[in-house]
Amino acid sequence: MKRMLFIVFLIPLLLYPAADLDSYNRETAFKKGISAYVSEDYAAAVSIFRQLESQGKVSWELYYNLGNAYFREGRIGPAIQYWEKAKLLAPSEKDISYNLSIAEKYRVDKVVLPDMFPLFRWYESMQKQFPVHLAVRLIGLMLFLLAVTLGTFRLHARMSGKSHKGAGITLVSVFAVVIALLAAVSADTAYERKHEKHAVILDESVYILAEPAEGATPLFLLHEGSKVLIDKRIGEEWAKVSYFDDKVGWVRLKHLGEI
Amino acid sequence: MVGRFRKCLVFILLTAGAAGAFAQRVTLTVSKTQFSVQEQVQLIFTFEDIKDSPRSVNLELYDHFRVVGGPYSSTSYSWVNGKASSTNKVTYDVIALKPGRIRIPAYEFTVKNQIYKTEPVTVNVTKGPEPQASDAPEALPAMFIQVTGPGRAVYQGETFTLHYYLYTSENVLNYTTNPVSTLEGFIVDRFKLNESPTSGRQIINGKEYLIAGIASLTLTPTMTGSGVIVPKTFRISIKSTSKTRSIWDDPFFGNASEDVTLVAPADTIAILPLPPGAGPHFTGAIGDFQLDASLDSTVIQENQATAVRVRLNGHGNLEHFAFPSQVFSESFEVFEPKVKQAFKLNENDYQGSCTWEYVLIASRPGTYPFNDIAFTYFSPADGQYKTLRAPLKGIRVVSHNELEGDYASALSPDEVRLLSRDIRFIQMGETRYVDAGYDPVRDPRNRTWYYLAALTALAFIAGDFYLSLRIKNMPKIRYKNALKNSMAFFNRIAADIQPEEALTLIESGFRCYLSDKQIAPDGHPGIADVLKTIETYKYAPGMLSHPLLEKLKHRALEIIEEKEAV
Repeated sequence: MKRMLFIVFLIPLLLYPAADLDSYNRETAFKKGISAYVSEDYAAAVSIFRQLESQGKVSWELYYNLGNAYFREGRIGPAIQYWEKAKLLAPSEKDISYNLSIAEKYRVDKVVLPDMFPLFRWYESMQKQFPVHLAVRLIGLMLFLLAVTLGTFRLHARMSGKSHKGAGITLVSVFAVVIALLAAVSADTAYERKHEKHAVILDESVYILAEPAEGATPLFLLHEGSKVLIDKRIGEEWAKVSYFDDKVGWVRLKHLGEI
Repeated sequence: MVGRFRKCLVFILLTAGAAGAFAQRVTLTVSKTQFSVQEQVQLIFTFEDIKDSPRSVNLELYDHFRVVGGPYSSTSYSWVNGKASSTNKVTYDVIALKPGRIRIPAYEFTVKNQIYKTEPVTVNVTKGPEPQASDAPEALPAMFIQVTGPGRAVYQGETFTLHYYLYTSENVLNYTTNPVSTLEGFIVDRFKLNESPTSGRQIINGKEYLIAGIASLTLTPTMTGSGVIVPKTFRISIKSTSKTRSIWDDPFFGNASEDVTLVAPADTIAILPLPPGAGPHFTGAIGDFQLDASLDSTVIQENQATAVRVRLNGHGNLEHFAFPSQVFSESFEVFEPKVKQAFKLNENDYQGSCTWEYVLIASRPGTYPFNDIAFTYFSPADGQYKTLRAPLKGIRVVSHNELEGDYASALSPDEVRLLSRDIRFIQMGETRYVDAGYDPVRDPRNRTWYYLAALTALAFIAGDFYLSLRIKNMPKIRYKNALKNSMAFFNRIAADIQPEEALTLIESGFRCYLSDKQIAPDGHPGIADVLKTIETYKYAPGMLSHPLLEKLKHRALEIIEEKEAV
């Protein structure tokens, strides 16, 4: 029995240093990547950051730095791809938005969109301000506060014999509206993220074809850094993409950097 | 005939003499030939009988004198022997900067191709009286206000600030004054009463003063000469030192206070005119500035817009001038610049930046170089004009076909860096890693609040259920605990308590038992007796005694025992 207990306590102690070592190695490699970037060895920085990414653990800072290193190498496509990836993890981070706005200057394919309807603009800013992980936590916190407040009301009413029905209904309504709004925004963002896959053109210029076949009619030309929506894939070779809804065609997956 | 001829001759001679007396000439006089440093004197140029004489003179005496006023111009006319003559005087107020013998050179004027010259004048400038050391320290008041300015002559159009400092050895509670909105010869940029000033201490003539900057006045002169800052009255509320306090003094709101009126003395600021030679890029900027300019894109399509941003950063009279107009290539349609002001008044003048954004639309393809953006300002610190130039890269305007084809490079990283629009630096701090396919909804850490909310709700539901059960069973509980509750009252009756209090405890204990057991007062003959006795004793407390109370208590307890036995 004693031996069993010893083993039960020992296993986490043995696992912990392994986990810690992993994190230590990651931090060390991350710092190496930073040193390479600072000493202007951008190719080395890209290689180190890419190696870190391949280990399965990511962070917005890693994606952001990788984007910067690619940019310094003069590769706008991958730079935009990684900044977009970073933005998915930290939508309200200003440095990412700024760098993406700079990247806009390089993009050859420039599309000027009409001003967004104010409600959509507000909705988009809500999506930025309340990314999914934050919204999920906020909803939980609000439910907790609601439970505490309603419980207190109920107990007080039970003990004093005074009813707080009006205040209770108002409170529940306000919380319900806020929670519903947050839930709707985060659910929509999570859905978009799961089902709408975007990609960036990585090559200097790529023809988008009418069919998924070599020698098919080219429909239009896209340049490095342009963002497309992947509608469909055929194996690991071809993808059907759309560019601003109205332009649809096929392109080889190797030309795309998935976000 | 001879007499008439003589008369004519005399007339001619007199007229000629008068004409000689009013010969055209210029003279320079100095109001004093001997004076001390910093003493104000006048330089007077007198133009006699010169039509269209100048109204100002380029003095060029800046090494020896500083002009503190002028030029003041006045003209007088006189008639002598039927002939009109005019005298025009141009006067400057100056102060000498250095002691010594100074020779004011001859000045030359050209009026209608005629050259006039003044004689050189020599003046003797002495050092001036040394400040007298006084044996006895000057008696200073308990409170006074001092005004400090820029400490030098300012230039017309230069923004500067006067600071009002309160020196006090009293305990100041508050101060007020009327705001300054206009002042002759100045634009009032701001008058600010400092509500929470920083303070320091200083000992003057052995007396310690607390010094606080209570107000500031920011001005921009519109004239030259001597600018007069009128005296400013402040109302200072100080803690009263009176030892005899009236009964009306409010004891809750601190000590009594009294109001004192203090006047900040008038001040004179010497305002100099800006020196000549400003150049075409000067529009009145005075201060210290840096300039940078950027172009939105170096390659654009024809009929597409791009923007040139010019940013001026620094301090000075940023509010009071416009940016000099810029000339771009004729192949561009240029719109009025959009101005973005990001400056505010600081301690002395305006500080921050101002950005002018020029939108250009290219009308035809080609490569167009741009001139440098130029801007001239006057630096009061150096006393000279400085011209800043910000280079702008040229722009390439391409046709629609060209850009839609294989043209695949808008800007290189180096080009963007040159335009001061580089990317932001990498992240170097601690990072929080997540799995590559991270789903925030499934992250157990994000569910903590949900678990807490559920647990709280459960806890409250359980509590509510318990309370509702308890309320429902209250009569039973009270019935069960009746004896215990009533004995709690009886047990509190001690020998040393007052009879009235003991009576109250007996009544409470007895009534509590009856109520908990739900026994009506007429349910037992003894109960009514006990209650009646209690009522009697309540109305006649004089009858009360400890033996009687003991008897009453026993009777009540006997009834309770009887009921419990049943």
